[in-house]
Amino acid sequence: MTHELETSQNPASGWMRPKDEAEQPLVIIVDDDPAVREAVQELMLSAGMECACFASPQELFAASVWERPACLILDVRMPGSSGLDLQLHLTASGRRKPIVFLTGHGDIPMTVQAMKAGAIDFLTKPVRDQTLLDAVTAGIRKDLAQRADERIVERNVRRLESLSPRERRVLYEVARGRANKQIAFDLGISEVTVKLHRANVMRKMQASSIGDLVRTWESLPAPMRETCAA
Amino acid sequence: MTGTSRFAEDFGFALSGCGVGLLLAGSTLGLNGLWAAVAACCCLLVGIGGICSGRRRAMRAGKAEQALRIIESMPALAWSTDARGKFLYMSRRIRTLTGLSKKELSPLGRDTFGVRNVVHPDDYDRLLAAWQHSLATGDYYDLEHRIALADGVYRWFRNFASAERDQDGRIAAWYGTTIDVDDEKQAEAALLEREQQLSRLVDSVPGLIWSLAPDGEPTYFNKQMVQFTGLSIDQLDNLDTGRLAATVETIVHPDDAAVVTDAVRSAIATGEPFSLKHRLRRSDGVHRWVEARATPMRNAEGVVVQWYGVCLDIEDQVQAQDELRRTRDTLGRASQAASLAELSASIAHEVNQPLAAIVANSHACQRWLAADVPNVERAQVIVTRIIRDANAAANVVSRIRALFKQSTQEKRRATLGEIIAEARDLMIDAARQSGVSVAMQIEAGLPAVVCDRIQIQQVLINLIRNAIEAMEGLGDAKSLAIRARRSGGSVRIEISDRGPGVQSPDRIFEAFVTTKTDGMGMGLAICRSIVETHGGRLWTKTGPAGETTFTFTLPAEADEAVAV
Repeated sequence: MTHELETSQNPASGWMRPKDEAEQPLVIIVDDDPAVREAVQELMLSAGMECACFASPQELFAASVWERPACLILDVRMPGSSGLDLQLHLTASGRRKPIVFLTGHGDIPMTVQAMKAGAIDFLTKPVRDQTLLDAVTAGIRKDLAQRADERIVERNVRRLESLSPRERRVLYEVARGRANKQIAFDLGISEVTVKLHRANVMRKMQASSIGDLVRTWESLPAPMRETCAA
Repeated sequence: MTGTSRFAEDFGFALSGCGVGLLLAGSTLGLNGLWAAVAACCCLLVGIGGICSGRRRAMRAGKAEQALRIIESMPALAWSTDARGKFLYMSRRIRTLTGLSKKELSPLGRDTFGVRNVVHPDDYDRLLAAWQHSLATGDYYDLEHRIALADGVYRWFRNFASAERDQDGRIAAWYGTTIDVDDEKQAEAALLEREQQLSRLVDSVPGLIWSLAPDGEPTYFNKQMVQFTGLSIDQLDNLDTGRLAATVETIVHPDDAAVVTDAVRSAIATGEPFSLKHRLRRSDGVHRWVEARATPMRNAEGVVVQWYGVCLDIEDQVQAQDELRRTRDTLGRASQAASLAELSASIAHEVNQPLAAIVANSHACQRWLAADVPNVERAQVIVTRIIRDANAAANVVSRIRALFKQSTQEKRRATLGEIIAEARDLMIDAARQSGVSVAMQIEAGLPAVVCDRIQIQQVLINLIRNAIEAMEGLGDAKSLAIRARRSGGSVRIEISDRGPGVQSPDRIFEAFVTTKTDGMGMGLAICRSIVETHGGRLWTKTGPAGETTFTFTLPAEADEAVAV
């Protein structure tokens, strides 16, 4: 097991180091060649980034590195499964971490496949330090943004969960653009009651306006929105 | 005249009759020995007849008995009858053989003869008709039929009889001879059977069999040949062109016609057996490859009396060989390309990995040292790694070099003549297909060389293939010469062609330099390195007549000449 977590002894720059330890970005390196793995890690450390190194995709899966914002540096050519296979596998299993590919001999089809699957970059070895660092930085930024979005969604989901079934139904109808009168008619309740529910929804969802409420609604996962129609 | 002298006179008459008969038989009828003897016997019997008619006189002389003994001792049965067919005289042996007396064999009724008792029932009607015809007309009687011997076994006999007429021209008597022809009959039947068997064999073997007259004109096609080509010998008659020309024109592929005609003509001129492969037109119009072989049959004087030939259908074989050759070529090219591509990818990866590490480490090192507080300790660790990785890259390079140097087989003492002949045999089909004639000139008593047989063969095959391919665009006169001779302390092998020549004779041996559109440019580079590892040299030269010669030398083994 070559799972090594190493922290920079000389944080050249603390450019993106949040106070929360769990939010500290991590560079995940997967390469079967120990010399390359070591050298890339060294480069990352010299740029003040924490690294986790793995000799194979199997080792990566066995580790718990998914909670932190991260960018992966993958070797395309590895024994067993290639970096491209790993990319597909990660996407399929919902771990959508940004990936920078490093390869000894990249050809166009390979590059196209990787980029289409959402890779940050596809770089050939030997790679210029700044190029690699830029790509990794971009990757980490992307992951941070992704994580922020995810957090908002999670928050919105929690807020939605605080609604009663009737409130959810009213939210569903309001988001569809239906007027209070129509909603009251459909649900067989008075317009006053609808207005009451609506006020509760606005409060619980912490929406400052109808526009804000609809945006929050749109950020929710589709299946969850569907359950409100019932 | 005394009895003695009379008998002598009569007997002399008989003998002279015999002589005349022999002469007649021999000269006029052209019969063989057996029939001549029979004829002589007949003549003798005529003489004996004279003796019989004057029997009393002979008895008186006491010498007639002697004459009869002579008759009895002859390898034939003698008999005589009267005009009606009643036996007058009969060799004693007839009675012994058949167990019947002459009375019993004579006519028994109006149309029945006693011979019925001894003649094979199937032959009797024929015999009766012939004999009655002769009795009625006096025509010469000659008939073969079976006669049962005393033990019941039938044997074939041939019977002759001629009529003697009196002064008035009436038939006075018949004098007959019967000879045993059973052995000949059986031999004849066996011969016929064998002939039929042979002809069945010739017709049923799965080959097209034919024969030619000494002048090359077809004289026979077996059934298979007729069925295959749809051409029979009879169809070749009454042609202006001659049978051979007509046959070639009808059943040989137009492109092969000249070759076939030449082969037949030269075989006729030299009397040597010949064989060649050509396409034969089947009756449905499809041409199929056949291998034709013919050999002459000579008489006792050694003169060719007939050519016997056979054509074997080798179409499937030829197809399979072509297919195999194509596959081999494709495979060869594919594996060559694949191995090189794979090799280069593998080399690139092997060298690139440490290089990538070195570059990344160097950058990191630079960063540690450029930091506000340079981390020298860390930088030193990295420099150690850089040295390690640089050495790893150097190791990869030397491993690759060792790989190329590696010799698969150890060198052994070998005869170049054999290696060249093997290489020629491997390439002869390719040469033939490209219409290139290959001439070999191996000096006798070439010294042996110490070499890796396979590698030297690769060099030869490469050079021969190059020569063949170089002449691709040429019309006729595509010829390739392979020469080997001693030159000082080494053996010199030359391969010459009539191709367009080499533009830059020095560069051609470099790797990846090629004049071919589909070449890798590795062949000659490899050839040169093989020759050089053998302590020889390989070079090329274009001669004054435009011929390109690739020459390589191999050191001869110390003064030991071996037969080529």
